[in-house]
Amino acid sequence: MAKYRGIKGKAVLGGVVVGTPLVQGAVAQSATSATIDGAGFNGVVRPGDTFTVAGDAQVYTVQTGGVVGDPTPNQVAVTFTPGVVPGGGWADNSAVTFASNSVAQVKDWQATVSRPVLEVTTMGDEARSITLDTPDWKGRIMALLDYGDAKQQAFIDAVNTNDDPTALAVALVAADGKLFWGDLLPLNARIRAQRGALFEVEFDFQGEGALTPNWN
Amino acid sequence: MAKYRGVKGSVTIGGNSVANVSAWDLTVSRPYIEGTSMGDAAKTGDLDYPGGRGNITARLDYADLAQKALIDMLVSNDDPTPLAFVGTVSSTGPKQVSCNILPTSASIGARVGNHVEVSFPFETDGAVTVSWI
Repeated sequence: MAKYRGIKGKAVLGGVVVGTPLVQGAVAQSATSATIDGAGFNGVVRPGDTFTVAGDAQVYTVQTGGVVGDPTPNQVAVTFTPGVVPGGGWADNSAVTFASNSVAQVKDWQATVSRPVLEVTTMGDEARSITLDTPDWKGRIMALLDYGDAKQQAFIDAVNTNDDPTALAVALVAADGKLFWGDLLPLNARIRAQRGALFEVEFDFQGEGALTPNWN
Repeated sequence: MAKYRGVKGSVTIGGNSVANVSAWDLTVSRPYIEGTSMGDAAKTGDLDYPGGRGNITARLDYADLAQKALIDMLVSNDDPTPLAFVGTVSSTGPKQVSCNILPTSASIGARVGNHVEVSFPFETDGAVTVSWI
């Protein structure tokens, strides 16, 4: 059976993909949707992810993404802004490069999915009987502090303002192509300093909606 | 007296061995109902119906059928169907405990310097049966 070393994991704010993504079919100038596929292409593409296409310097931002491979293996349909910039559009099989969404300097992450127990034992029963209520998940990410990292900054800024919070897309990765993804609301950012140690920051979070396995 | 080493143990869920298990435990218990009344010289009580809870710890492998069954039950809102748990102390005999369980959480953690681990606390549903052959 497989075992996964912690050092191979990562925590990501947004989507995460592996493989060699390519544009499927020619895409015309100004188009705002495309299908991306490629050998070994897997993972999830989330709104807010950014990517570039070979031969086009424009950075595009994903509006709607999805699970790579659902329903067609190694393939995902995306919408994005702005529309395709080059006059000739994108050629079939142009290479696509997704920007990394990794939180820098992560040493530890943890996620717990749970369902409250509802007891259904009634008089006359010989042993306790139970069922489960709605799913919930929460967790923690610990990293070496770097507020200059955009993803750590997003976590810290989200708990350091009084704005109505927007859930952050997250992927917790055990190994390449093996991850759990969902949305979360950060609850706190605990920054620690101690003589003789590096600065650390720890983020507790509450899941918003489902936590979904993606195991390829 | 017999002694049983933990490394010889195993656990199955729905008939499938849980991969990479490093620990399991099961605690059976009965709530204590105090029956002491005024004038008694000492505390007296009774026991209510039996139940149990436990934990399975393994190195994470979502491709493993048993681990997948436990995690999938927790990430969906379906009405849960209890899973058959068999905790084996020794395959000789065998010596084991069995019951139906519902997992209440799956705690997954990755850390530098460790394997990625998952811990499944669970509660029993119905009776716990001990088989010690």
